[in-house]
Amino acid sequence: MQLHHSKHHQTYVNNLNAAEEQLGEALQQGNVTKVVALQQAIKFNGGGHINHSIFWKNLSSEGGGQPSADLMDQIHIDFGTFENMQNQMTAATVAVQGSGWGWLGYSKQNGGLRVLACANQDPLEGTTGFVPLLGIDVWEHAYYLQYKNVRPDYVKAIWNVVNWKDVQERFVTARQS
Amino acid sequence: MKAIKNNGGGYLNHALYWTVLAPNPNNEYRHPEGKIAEDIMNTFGNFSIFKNIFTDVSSSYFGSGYVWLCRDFNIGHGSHLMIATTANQDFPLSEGLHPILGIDLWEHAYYLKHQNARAAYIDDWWHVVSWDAVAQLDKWWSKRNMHDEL
Repeated sequence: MQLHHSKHHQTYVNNLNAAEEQLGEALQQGNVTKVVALQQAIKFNGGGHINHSIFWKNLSSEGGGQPSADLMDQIHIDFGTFENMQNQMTAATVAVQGSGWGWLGYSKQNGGLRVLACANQDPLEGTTGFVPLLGIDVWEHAYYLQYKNVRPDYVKAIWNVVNWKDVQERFVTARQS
Repeated sequence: MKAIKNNGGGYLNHALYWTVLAPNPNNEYRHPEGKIAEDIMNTFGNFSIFKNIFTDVSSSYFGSGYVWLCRDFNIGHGSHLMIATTANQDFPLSEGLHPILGIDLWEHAYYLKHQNARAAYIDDWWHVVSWDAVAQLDKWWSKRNMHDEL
C-alpha cells in the first residue's frame, strides 16, 4: 500500500500537474492540436488521481462487515441481497482485462446502484456519469507483491477492509446533489 | 470471442516474448548484426536511435500491453520495419504486422523485481534480447510473406 500511494499515486499527481500546465499553455496559444493531444494524459493521470483518492478513503483497517441504513436499503432494492451485490462486483472486477477498476456506482438518473468496470484509469463519473461509491483497483501493482497473479484471492480479501462508513457517505452526498 | 482473443493472444505474445530472450550472464552489450542491423539502420538512422525510440515508447505506454518491432509487408514492394504497440493481449498480426521483437509491459512482467520502476526493467530487458532469435524470426516471417516477383 505504501508503494501504491507514495509511488504510483504520486506519479499520477505529478504527471497530472505537468499535463495541466501544458494544457494551460496550449489553450493560451490557441493550439487546438496540442489541446487534443493532451487529453489522453489528462484522462490517464487525472483519472489515476481521482481513483486512488477514492480508494484510500474506501479502505480501513477496521473495515469489513456490511453497510447499514440507507445504503443497505438501496442495495436490497437493486441487488436483492448484500451477497448478490458482493458476488456481482467481485465477478466484474476479477473479469477486467488488463488494468482497470471494478466499481459500485450510483446513477443520478434513477437513484439506483450498479456494478461497473472501467479500463486503465478511466474515471467512473467522467466516462460513464455514474458516481463512484466503492472502487477496487485491479492494476497488477495493487496486488502483485502480495498475491502474485491470483487476482481472485485479492478481490475476495479486500471486502474485509472496506470502509462502509465512507461508501455510505458518498451515497448520501450523491443522492443529495 | 473475447476469451479467445485474450487467452490466445496471451499465449502467442508470451511465446514470442520468451523466444527472443536469452540469458546474458556476463551482462554483455548486445546488438544486432547482418540484415536486421542494416534494416534498423536504414529505418531509424542507427541502432542507438532505434533503442531510444523503442525505450521511449515503452516507458510512456499506459496500462497493460506490449511494444513491438514489426515487419510490415503491406507495402508495394518488400517490407519495412516499424515500432507498434498493442493493448492487453492483442496480437500485432491482427493489424497485419509481423512481430520480431517484443517487450511485455504488463506490470506482472517487472513488478516483483522492479516494482514501479519500469525504466530499470526496460534497461535490463535490452541486456537479454537475443538478436540471433530476432533475426531467425525475421527470416521466418519473410519466407511466409514472399511476394510473387521473387
